Amino acid sequence: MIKKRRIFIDPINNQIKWLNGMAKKGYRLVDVKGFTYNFEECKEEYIYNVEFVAHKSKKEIDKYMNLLSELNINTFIKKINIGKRSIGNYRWRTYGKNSMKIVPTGLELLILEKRNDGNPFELFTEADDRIVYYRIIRNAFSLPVPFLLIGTLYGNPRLSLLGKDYSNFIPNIMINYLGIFICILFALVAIKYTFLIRREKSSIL
Amino acid sequence: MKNKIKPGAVTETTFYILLSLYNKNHGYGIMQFVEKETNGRVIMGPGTLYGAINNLLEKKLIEPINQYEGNRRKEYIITEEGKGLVHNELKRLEDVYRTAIKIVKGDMDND
Repeated sequence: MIKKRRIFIDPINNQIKWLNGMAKKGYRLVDVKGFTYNFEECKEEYIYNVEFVAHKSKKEIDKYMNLLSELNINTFIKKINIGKRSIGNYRWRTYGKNSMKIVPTGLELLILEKRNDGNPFELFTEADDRIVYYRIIRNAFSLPVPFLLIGTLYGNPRLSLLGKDYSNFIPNIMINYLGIFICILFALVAIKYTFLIRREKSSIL
Repeated sequence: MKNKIKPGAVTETTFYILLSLYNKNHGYGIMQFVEKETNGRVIMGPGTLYGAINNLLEKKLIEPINQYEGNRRKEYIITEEGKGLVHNELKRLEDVYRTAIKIVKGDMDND
C-alpha cells in the first residue's frame, strides 16, 4: 500500500493522466480522501477516467453510478472546491443546469475505474455530448474568476478574518498574490476547454 | 405532438440503442449489442449511454419495464412511438443510401 498526495491544476485531464500512469506502474487505487490517494500493488491493469459531475444533483449521480456499476465500472468520489459559494452544507452554484439554485454540497468529481480491456476508456463518444460536457467545465472554471478577482483586489482579504492575527507568519500581500494566482490557474483551465470545444465543433461536418 | 423529432436528428448511437430495445435489454446489454452490431467500431462511453437512455425515456421513445425483486439491473423496451421513429429514420436512410449508390457506385468499383 502506498500513499500519494497530489493537487492538480486541471483536476480532470491531469488527474486522468496521473492515475493511468500509476496503473501502468502496477498500482490500483484503493481510496481517495481530499488530496490523499491510497494505492495497492495489483497484477491486473486498470484504466481510469475522471468525470466532472458538480452540476448534477445527488439523485442523478446515484442513478448514473448505478448504471456504471452495471457496466462493471467502479467509482470513487473526489471533492474539489471550485465555483461555489457555500454556507454551511448548502451552496449556490453558478453553472450547469442547476445554476442559480441552492443545492446540497457533496460530490464534485467521479473517478471511474475499469479493467483495461485494450479499448480506450472514453466517457462521451459523440461530439455533441463532448461539447455540452466541455461547456459545463469551462463555465465552472471561468465564472468564479471575476468574483475571485474582485474579492482579491477590492475585498482586501486577510487571514485575520479567521479570528487571529497571522500577519507575522504570512504577510497580507501574500493572500492577494495567492488570489490572483488561483484566478490565473482557473482562467488557464477555462481557456483550455474553450479550445477543446472549438476542436470538437470543427470536427463536425 | 409535443416531442416530435425532426427527421435526420437521430444520431447513430441513438438509432442503435432504439434497435437494441426491440427486445428488453439493460444498460450493459445495450452496449454489447451496439459493439457487436458495429463490429467494435462503436464502443459507447458511459456518459453517452446514460445521456441517451435518459433522453429517450424523457421523450417516451423507450420505457422502463417492471423489475422483479433481486434484479438491480434496470431494463428497458422500445415504445410504439420509438418504433415509429425507427421506421421514419429507416426510410430516410434508405433514401440516402439509394441516392449515394446511384452516384458513387461506379467510383467505388474502381477502388
